[in-house]
Amino acid sequence: MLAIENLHAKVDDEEGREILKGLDLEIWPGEVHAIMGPNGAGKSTLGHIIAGKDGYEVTDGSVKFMDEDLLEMEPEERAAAGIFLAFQYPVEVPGVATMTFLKTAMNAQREARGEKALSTPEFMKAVKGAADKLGIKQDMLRRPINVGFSGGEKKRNEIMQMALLEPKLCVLDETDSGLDIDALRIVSEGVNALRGADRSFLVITHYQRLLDYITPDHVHVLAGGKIVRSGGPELAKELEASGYAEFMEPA
Amino acid sequence: MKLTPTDAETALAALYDAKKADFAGAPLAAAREDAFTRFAEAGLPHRRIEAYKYTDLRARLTDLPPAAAEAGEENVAGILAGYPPLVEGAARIVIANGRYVPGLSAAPANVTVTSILDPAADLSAVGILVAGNDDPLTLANLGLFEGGVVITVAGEAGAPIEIVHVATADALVMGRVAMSVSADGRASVIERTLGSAAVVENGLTELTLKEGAHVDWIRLVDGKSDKAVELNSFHTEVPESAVLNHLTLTTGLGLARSQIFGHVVGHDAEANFRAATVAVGKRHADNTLVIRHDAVGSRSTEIFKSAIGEGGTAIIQGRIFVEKDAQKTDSKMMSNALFLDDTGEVVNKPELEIFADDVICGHGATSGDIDEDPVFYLRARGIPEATARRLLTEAFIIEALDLVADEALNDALAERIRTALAAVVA
Repeated sequence: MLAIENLHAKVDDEEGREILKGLDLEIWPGEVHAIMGPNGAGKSTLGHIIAGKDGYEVTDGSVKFMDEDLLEMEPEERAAAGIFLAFQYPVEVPGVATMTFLKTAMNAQREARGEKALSTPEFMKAVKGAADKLGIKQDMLRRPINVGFSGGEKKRNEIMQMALLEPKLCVLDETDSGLDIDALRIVSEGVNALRGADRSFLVITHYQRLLDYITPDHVHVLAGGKIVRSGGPELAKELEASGYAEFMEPA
Repeated sequence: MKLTPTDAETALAALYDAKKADFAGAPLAAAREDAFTRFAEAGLPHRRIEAYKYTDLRARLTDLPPAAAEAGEENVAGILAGYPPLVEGAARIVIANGRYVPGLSAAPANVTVTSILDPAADLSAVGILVAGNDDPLTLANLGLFEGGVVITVAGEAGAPIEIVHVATADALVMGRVAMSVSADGRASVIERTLGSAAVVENGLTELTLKEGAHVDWIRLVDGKSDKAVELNSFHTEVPESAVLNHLTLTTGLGLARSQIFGHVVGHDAEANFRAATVAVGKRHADNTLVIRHDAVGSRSTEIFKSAIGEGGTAIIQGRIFVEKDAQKTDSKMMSNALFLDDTGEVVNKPELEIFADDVICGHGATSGDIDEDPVFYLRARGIPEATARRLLTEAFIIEALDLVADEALNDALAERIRTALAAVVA
């Protein structure tokens, strides 16, 4: 589903600091991969590059998604193809009502895939279903996107969007940050409900905690811009005990 | 130093002289004379007058059209028919070419409307708020107004009120509105101008609230051509526990200057001013606001949202005075301007003058391009870039509609903003 080979990327500014230095990663349909690593390892950069955020320059390597060259696609094309990034810091968008946003996004993706637009009743039903599961109140949906939402509400809103947009690859960027234990459980349950044979996850996290709730198939340690170790779920536990110190040495 | 009168100033003086005989004996004649004399002494305001530095009317108003004659009622009815009220069920009060048209007007329950020139009109709340004001546009109207209305709201107005100014010719029009609202009374008002595309309007409104009254007032400024001139001065006083929510929505073309003179005079009084402006092309949109807090524990907010493109200009002048005894005043002013391209101009001039020492007052001003983080957020959800930018640009202005609680009205106003932006934003 996702195949990253020898990915090198630097920040697109004057300093041009290289962040990813030859990253390889392959994700098959239905798999849940966790990327762990110390701060500054390039975890969020990886998520951003997959989603198509400006501000990075890929200097070498390739990213293929369903055999398409992802790096050639605009962010909205990637979304329509099935990529979803759950933001670490969901953006507040004053003035755009959440419902308007959801409908515009869902129908833009459907249009890009050559599918029929949702009717208003179909849309309302879908939103209500997804919102109820995550404990998102109607009042929140009427507000502008994320404006006045607590940290937990913002993350739940991300997961609701994920549920509605039915992506093939979900990238969760530090979804656990800023969540208390109850919010973490709700969000994790939301994610787990979306797991399926055709849907893959890339869970980016600093702490092992999230992985108690979302059990990964594979765990990778990202340090110094590359994957330095891969293993099963037990690797996360080991990291929790030993920390990232052993990976912090100069490569 | 007195400047040589311009053609426009000469024309205004001649107009006053010509009408002087008609005014004599009519209501408010003495006030006219006083106001016009003061106006004529200073003349049209120009760029060396600080408040008019960015809107030099002496230079801009070179050839004034003739004063409007009385409008034919059928003609006015024809114009009105093309534009239904913005809110369904609103009662229209029609002022055509500056004169009240009772035959086309309706007053909802608890509202009475009288011509300001009717000898029987109750003038007890007329001229009070403007007394002593030396703003030239206010003085010009006070001296030359053709007519207008006195609106009295006793209790809760039975329906929204739409004050419609109609111009049947490309003429100079100076109508006047005086409205008073009883203690705990409520009214929702929309004010707009219809008709001729090159009208030169200099309107004046006095809104007097009594304790606990609540008024929502929305004024649409949407000049129909490059030649349109829309000048307006809104004077108000907000006493104890009263609330005023005022919105000026400026789109369209031509020269506009919307002035607000607000006096917050009672404990727990609240005055909120919003200005949503789309200044595109040959549009000069000036919002000038002077608020004076004169009581312990009153509040005001001032939010200006402007989008500028294709050579348009937005001027935002906001001035808040907090008098010495107005402790615990809470006043916040913010002006945000968004450039739609590289050709627009915006002037932000916020001023705070605080003489009390226990207040919360703040102001801020920003101008810039659209924020890229929300653009990416929307694109990451599959929304094409052009749509994302359009939605966010609209949202930027639509934020100024935050106090318009009526959903249908909010939608209608948002739609006007979208239409105005559609010319520039793909």
